[in-house]
Amino acid sequence: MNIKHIIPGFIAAGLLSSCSHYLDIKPYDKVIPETAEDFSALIHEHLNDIDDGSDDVLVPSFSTTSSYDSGYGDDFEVCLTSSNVSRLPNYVGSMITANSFNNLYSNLYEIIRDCNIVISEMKESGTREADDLLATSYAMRGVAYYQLLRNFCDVPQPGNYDSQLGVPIVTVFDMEAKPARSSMARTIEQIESDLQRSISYHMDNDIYRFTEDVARGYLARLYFWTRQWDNCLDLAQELLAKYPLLDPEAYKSMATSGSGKLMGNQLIKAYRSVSISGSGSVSGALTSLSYRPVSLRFLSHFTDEEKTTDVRYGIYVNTKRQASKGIFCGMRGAEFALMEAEALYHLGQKTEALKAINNFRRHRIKDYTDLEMDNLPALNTREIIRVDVEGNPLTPLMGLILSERRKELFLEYDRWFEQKRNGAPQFSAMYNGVKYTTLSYMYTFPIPIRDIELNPDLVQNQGYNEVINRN
Amino acid sequence: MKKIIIYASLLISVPVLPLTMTSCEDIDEVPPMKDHSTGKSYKLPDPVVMDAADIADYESIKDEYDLSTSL
Repeated sequence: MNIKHIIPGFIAAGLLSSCSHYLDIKPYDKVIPETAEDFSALIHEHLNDIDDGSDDVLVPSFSTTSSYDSGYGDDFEVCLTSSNVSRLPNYVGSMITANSFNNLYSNLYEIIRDCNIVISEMKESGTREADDLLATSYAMRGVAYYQLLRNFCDVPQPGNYDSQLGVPIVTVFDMEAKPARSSMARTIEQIESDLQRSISYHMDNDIYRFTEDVARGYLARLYFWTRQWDNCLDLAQELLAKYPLLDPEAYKSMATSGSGKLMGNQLIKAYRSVSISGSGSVSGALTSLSYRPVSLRFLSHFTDEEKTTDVRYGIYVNTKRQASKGIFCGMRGAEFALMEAEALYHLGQKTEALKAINNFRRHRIKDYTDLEMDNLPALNTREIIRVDVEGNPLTPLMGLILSERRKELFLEYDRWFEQKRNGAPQFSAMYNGVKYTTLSYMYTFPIPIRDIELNPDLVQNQGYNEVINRN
Repeated sequence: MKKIIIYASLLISVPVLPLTMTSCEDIDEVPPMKDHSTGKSYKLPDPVVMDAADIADYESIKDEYDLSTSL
């Protein structure tokens, strides 16, 4: 080609490319997805993360669960950790100092962002796919706010919801918005509203994972966490009727089943698409756990007799007190039975509460004889929880209910939140000649520093006053 | 004639191209990445060296564990 053609060509190209809104990263009024199928890609990405165990925020992975249960809570004995190569934290403070909860915060808001896009922007409606997608988006957004509530807010105090801090509420996609923290009341209202909206679609398409029953399960968890005992009891009993307790052998089969399809009375779980034995992250988490024995504080909740009669003890630990129970990341029917017993107790129906907890124990202990009010076991002196969620000293019955919950939900991402819910007790862990103390305020994680710096309207949680530069 | 075209093109391109290239609106629309928080964290109470009582607690826990798991 002749140069006299090339040069004018360059000039023309330069002129024609004179641009307007070049690199405009915010295409106002332009939403690229159009159909429900297009939008579903946003949601399926997160669902796939749950299925392959890489989601750490909605249905936490083995790695996250093992950190919470063996590093932050007191079910394991830090001072007996056998190897320096253990990747388990010694206490929650080391994770706070390392800003490890920043990703939890930002990942939850990423999920909320994607749900907001679906809920606000999808024009398709009335089709099965659109309804399923909306049901899933509302449920996932509600669960994301629920996880933010439990991790980044204090324990809700009924009567003080308006003065307690919630989290920033974002319900539409707006990159330039900088919302301040809402009240606890507003946050709870948002979670309840999202889960109720999801439930209203009666979605039962298992491919979307957050079916109507799963949304109802999370709503029961919300009522439990926020001490709405009447609502909690009603919902827990309805779900328990549909997902009843399993007898000891069926329970054992479910507890040792690992990944894959839902088993027994499970409603949702992580790792449905991967083999636990073939997953590097799973084997890594289990290997780490083998370095840290289960604590006597936990094991002492089984009496000598129960060590042979309670089906759980045999599958929980080996002779070296290493955890042999598989980690469960999800939701299953037994939790509703424990909610039922505690809700009955707090509603003043003590006899019914005892009946419920006896029924529960009958499904775990062979040849079980019901306990009576006058022969309840004494409180466990090794238990660091000394008050219930209402702030009252533990009674033998409340101690029994909490003890059963602690045993049943071992390695299921529950113990840390039980400690937080019931008085947030201060406790210490020792390792390598050093003592680490978990103070009460550490049960509530700090809002990430980068968010505080970007948005001065964000109020930090109590206790996090001094910023240091680690470089 | 060929040279005239070339020189003319070059002469035109000298003022036109810079104008063309700088004609984009909002070239700095993407805000500069500002993250001063890297490397910062909240100060927590420092862990303490175990004292005699702590060491006694530790030894008690270890003795109980060794005894129970050696059976």
